[in-house]
Amino acid sequence: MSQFAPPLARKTRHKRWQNPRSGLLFLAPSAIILVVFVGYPIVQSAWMSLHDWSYLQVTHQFIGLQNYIDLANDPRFWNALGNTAIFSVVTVPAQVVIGLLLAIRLSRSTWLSTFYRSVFFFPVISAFATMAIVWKFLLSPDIGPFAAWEHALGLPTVNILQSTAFALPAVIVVGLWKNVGFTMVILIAALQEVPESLNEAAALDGAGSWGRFRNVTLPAIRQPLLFATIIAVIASLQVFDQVYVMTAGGPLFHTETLVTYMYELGFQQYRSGYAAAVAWVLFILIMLVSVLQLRIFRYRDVD
Amino acid sequence: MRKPIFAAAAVAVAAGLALGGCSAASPSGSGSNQVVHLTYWSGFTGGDSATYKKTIAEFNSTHPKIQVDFQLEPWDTIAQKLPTAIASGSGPDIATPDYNVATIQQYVANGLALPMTSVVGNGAGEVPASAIPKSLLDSVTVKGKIYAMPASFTTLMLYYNTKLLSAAGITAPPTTMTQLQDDAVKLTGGGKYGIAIADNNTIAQWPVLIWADGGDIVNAKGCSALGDSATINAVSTWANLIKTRKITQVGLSGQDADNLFAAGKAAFEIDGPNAAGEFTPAGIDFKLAPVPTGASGSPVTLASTAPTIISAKTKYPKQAQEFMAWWMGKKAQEMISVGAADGPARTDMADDAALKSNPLVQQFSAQVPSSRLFLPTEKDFNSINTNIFQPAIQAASRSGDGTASLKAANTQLNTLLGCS
Amino acid sequence: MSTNSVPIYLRKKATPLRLALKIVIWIVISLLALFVVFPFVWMVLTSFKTEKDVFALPAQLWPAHWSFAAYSDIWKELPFARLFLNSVIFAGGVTVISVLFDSFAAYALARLDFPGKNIAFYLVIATLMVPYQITLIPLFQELFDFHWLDSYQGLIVPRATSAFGIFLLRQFFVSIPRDLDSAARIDGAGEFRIYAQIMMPLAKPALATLAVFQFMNNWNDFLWPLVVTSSTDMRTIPAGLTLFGGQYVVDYAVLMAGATISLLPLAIAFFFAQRYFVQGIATTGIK
Repeated sequence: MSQFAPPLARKTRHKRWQNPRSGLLFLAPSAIILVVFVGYPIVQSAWMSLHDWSYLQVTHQFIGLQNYIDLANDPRFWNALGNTAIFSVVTVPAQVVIGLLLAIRLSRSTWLSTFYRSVFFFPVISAFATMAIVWKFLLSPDIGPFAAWEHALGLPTVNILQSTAFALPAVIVVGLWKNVGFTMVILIAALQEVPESLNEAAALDGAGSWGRFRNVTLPAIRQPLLFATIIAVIASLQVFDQVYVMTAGGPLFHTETLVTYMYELGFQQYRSGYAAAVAWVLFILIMLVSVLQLRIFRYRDVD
Repeated sequence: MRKPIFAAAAVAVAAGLALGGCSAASPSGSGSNQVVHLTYWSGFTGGDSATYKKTIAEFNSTHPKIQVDFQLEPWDTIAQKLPTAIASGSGPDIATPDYNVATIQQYVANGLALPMTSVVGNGAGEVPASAIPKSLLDSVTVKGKIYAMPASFTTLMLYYNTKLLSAAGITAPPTTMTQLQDDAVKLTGGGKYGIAIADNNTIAQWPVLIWADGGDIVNAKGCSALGDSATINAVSTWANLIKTRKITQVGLSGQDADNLFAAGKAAFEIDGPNAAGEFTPAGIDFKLAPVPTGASGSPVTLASTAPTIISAKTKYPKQAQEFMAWWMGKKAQEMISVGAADGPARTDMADDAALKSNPLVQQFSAQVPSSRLFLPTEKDFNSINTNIFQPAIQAASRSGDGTASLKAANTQLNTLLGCS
Repeated sequence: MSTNSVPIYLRKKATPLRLALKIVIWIVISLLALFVVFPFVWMVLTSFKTEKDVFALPAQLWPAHWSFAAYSDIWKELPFARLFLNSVIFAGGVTVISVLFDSFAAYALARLDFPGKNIAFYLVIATLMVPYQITLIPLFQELFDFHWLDSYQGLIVPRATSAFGIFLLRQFFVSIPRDLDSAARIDGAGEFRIYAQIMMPLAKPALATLAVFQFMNNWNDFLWPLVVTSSTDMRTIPAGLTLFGGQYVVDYAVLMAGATISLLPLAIAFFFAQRYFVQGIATTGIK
């Protein structure tokens, strides 16, 4: 069954709830915290998005959907949306494919595989904001080692993070550097759960290694693959840390994403209402993409 | 799994953010003998923080009844949480909201800053208005009331790498912009750049180049000057050299530019005194010269001041102002100047022995008469600088000509400023 | 299950071509691994450089003069023991409480039948998708109204449950066969006993995973502590280290030393308890 199926999705109407009291009691601590510290601020931000809201001001003018109308005519918003889309479209498949390839190669428990697994996973435990500073340092055209190597090889020194051509790819690569290990580890576990007998049977039927992968392995790991993909999609649509630290959205807005734009609007220009509108557009976008993915995957599930 | 954007943002360099706040000074009792605790938020987290801490410790030791608690936050963090903190009453009593003086306009317009009525004047312990540079005083005065005092006050000078210059056979620093351009071209090559010019996250360097040639960003009428021919010519001349002769790297932040100079890869940089604190330990032999004169014929450089405001919600306006007045006093200004090579933010300290013996302070102070602040009273400063001005400059540097980008920026800026 | 022995059907003749391919693959993997560790190596080595070395041309990996100045600078400037304690209280507190609360909620969503359950589940998933930054301002205002700014409860309570944790554990609980708790229910066991005595022991790997992630994320987080705290005495290590970058002047050695210090506890934990990091996460991901 699909792990994303709603709990006890029943067609029939309830006559009685079996555990009305204990259910609510168990849910209560989390529910209260989520409502007070997540739900309320989200609703509040929706309310803000309908106002000309600046948190410098005491009173705020209600302007209906004007912020959303302004967004539709804001070239920087469309640019940020485009960059976010490019970032996701490149990052998600790359992360899943590289993660899967590494997982396939490193899924056996030899000492070498175990060692490399640890290496590829290590960035996951580090703080991204900190490591992005290290990356910025590495890519610095003045004092970074990459520039020194370029120079030693007689290549021209490129200021990667200030190049309109290379800045976004660099940000993407650093994102992959941080997150591929996570995908890999999920998929390794999934691969290790695929029963040997299935593979063996397929091998006896004369299936080659590609055939076994396609017809046995891939179907068997579909759920973890979906899990890893959805998480990667959500994270990539909300990309912020490395962009903020490494390029701050530059050069000339070539790496500006929805969240960095939202951040600038809210915290540098103090246009909280408008920033909230950006956030809500992003929120809806993420929901749509996630639902779409679930639909596609579950649709196949039925086949 | 990582909760998607759990930890957003950066640590130090250009980053670090957040909202937050702290409870304001709470009365530690009643009665006149009680000690008043004031909280002061500042973003001077770098090398200068030691100087500020020392200065405030001096105040605390000489004022047993007022104790100032100095709390450091990265600038971005302050920008995020200070307005909410003050408005909600949870903020500090005293704060340096930003390193650009224009920032106070927003605070004043929204009633978050307290007018300082007993800091500047002729009363006991007050600072005479004549002792403060006029441009500085004007920039913190709104509708006749003073809302801020300088936390720092600096001017910019031309740093030059003596080794690189003498290797190229240049014996004296340039005195005109044309010479600077010629020298920069001559010094470029072999992995070295003639000059490091920053165009983002920086103390304003491009405005100095524009002013020198008689251009401007906003004119006397409060409208855009980006489309003026003097501005376009100044930007285009530099942009052309950047594009065709590669005299500087494109897209440098203030930090990148400093690094370039500190790495011995740039021969010139226009910068404030605290850059010296990075260049000296990096082993660079440098000297200072006044910013060269451009087509306008008169010397001009940037003055930069980080403003300190008092929260409109402070419970101790009297004590907070007493602190500000002390801060502007000669003793504190001497400590800050000597420690951070800043200022002093007073014009009447020429005879101060400690300052006289500090060559860095001497040189930078000498620039004050020809200095001007960058858009000091513009309430949309951040928006103008980061959304209009800097992108136009960046586009110009990449295309080699400023005409198109500046004309577009001119229209944008006029719309923002309400000029047609 | 993993195994060291290669199944018979996978054993192939070692032709030169296969061998060459295998070597190439391992070389590629090794190069990738080098790429992955390089930033860490650079970070650690730079933290021991003098400023002159940092700006040396061309950039050198190895410090010309080993210097501990960066570390002693941090030590002098920050109340390090206090920051460390705060980090432990914050990350540890959040971890313990949120694992407990998340497991409650997950148990309810996976096993119990009560009104509003489906809506609750969908809301939990929706919460996962919210861009976190937008909640900051309302959240800050809320914490102020509660008088929770600059306090441990302000740091911990809003983080004391996570949608991700609930989701993760719920997926795990759903996979546990129902016969176990049905049997106990028939024996008259209360829901809390079933939760505590049947589900919890079975869920250990999932709980360990969640705990590792919660601890890791909160230990590494510095935005949240910066939001909530303002006095140096309440800062965590990463938040405290942000005080080392000036606007124009950055001492890279100090910055790298700070980054190294904040990574160190997790790195040590990782080396001693890799199993929990890697296998734990893996185990939960597939359920």
